[in-house]
Amino acid sequence: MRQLTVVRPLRMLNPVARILLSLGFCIGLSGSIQPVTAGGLGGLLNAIQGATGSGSSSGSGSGLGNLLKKLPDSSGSSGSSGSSTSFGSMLQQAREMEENISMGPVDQHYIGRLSAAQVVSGYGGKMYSVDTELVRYVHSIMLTLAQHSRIPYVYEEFAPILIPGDDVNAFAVSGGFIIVLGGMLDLVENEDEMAYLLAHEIAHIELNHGLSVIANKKGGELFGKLMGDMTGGGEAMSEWVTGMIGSAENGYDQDVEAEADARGLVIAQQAGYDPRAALKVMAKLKSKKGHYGGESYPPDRVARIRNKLNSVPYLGRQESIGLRTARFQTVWARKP
Amino acid sequence: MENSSQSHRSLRVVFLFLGFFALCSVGYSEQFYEGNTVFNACHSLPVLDKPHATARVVGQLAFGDSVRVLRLEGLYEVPDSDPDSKKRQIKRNSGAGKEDEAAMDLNEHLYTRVSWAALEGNRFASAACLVKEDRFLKQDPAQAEAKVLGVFSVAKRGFSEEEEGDMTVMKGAAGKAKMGRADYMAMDGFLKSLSSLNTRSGLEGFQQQGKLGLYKN
Repeated sequence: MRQLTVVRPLRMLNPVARILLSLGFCIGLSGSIQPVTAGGLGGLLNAIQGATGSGSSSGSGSGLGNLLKKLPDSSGSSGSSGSSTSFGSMLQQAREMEENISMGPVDQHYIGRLSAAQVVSGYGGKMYSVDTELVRYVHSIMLTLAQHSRIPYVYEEFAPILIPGDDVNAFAVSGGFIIVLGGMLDLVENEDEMAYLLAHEIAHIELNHGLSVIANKKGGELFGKLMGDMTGGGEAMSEWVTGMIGSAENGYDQDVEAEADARGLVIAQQAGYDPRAALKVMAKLKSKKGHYGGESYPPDRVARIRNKLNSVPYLGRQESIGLRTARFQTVWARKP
Repeated sequence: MENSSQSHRSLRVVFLFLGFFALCSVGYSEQFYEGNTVFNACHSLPVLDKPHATARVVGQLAFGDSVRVLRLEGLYEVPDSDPDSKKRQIKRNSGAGKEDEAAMDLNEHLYTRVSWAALEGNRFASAACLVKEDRFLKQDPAQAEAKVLGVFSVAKRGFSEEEEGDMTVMKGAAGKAKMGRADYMAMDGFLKSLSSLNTRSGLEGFQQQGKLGLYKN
């Protein structure tokens, strides 16, 4: 993964970004438009109302974006003195931040779609066609898992991007695209193992890791560049997207991968798969690559999975695993 | 005059907080509440008779269709990695190590999300596709595509000035460079074919045969 090398000097950032950075806030690109309640942030808003003399607010149920819009642009103009930046200007900048980096299902889809296309191109433009039994089969497993996640639907379609070759890896990008490389397809030996692999990746999508982790990881540096990009050409965004692909491919970080492991077990279990298959996948990874995924994964990954399995038992029947293994072997035997 | 100055300073702090929270206002799923009107931002979204994706389909929301949320179903907490999680809120608020006090001042609305929206007529829709009007107005496929294409067109500058357009280099886990021209049209064709592949009955047959989903026991 390429490192960010161009750091916009702090003084070049807009005032809000500069101050926020200096305060050392953790800036994430995850989350959602939040409500304002009577306590916490609501208290701050009450203070605004008092200070600006605006009317009463209903509080909850109103997104912050709406609240920002409702606040008067001129709120800082009256009575201000000795300040280089007006409140109106700061407010406007806060609004612009929200306007410019807000993402929803459509944005997610287009970022994921182009990320997936970039990855495929990186592997010579080769991917298994929809006409293959392999893709149709893996797609069915994905949809089954997705039905038992918190994101049963995406903007367009959950998509298995299966790439021939020897590389052993699987990763997800936003919008429901899951990329599995040929070496990983060769590694798994039954449907439940394949399902765990996919469940782990669906967990990454569900938990919003692709969007939040890069921003958290790069911290103020990337945030500063994003701020500078608000009216610029999108270089920081391009680095962020490229970073998302790279992080997905190489693993996010240990805590995040542990989250995806744990959530993946639950998704697989709820869908009817045997979550214990995760341990077999881990053993094969260790055997093939010499590690459990690399330094971005917890060193005690197997122990954590084993511990989680105590509360996530297999809910199906033993003979059902055999049924699924039989159809897996049929499909894999015909794999192009 | 002094009071005005103090008020001014207070306001500045308040706006800084607002700016911060506005920055966190991006993400996959959107928090909404009972009584909100929300819009479907997915291509299409099934409406179901129970809050689960395997439930019976009783309707369909097209892109842009709006519905009123009667009730919330499937409340859950965001993971620790989320900027709004309990853990990160405590870390953010604890200041000089006063974690106990910070834990008492947590805002539940920040760290919880819902999986399903209950609609009129005892129907349910997945929250994964539902957004409020402000965000929906920004969910324009043509604009999103143009924005992302623009992002990728500048990505080349970070890798090699000699590359053109969407040509990029990526370093994989092994550190070896991979490059090529992305074929977005092929990806679109792939997605279109995929969407016609799995009918709901076909998927149910797959699950029945493999003792999955509703058939797992």
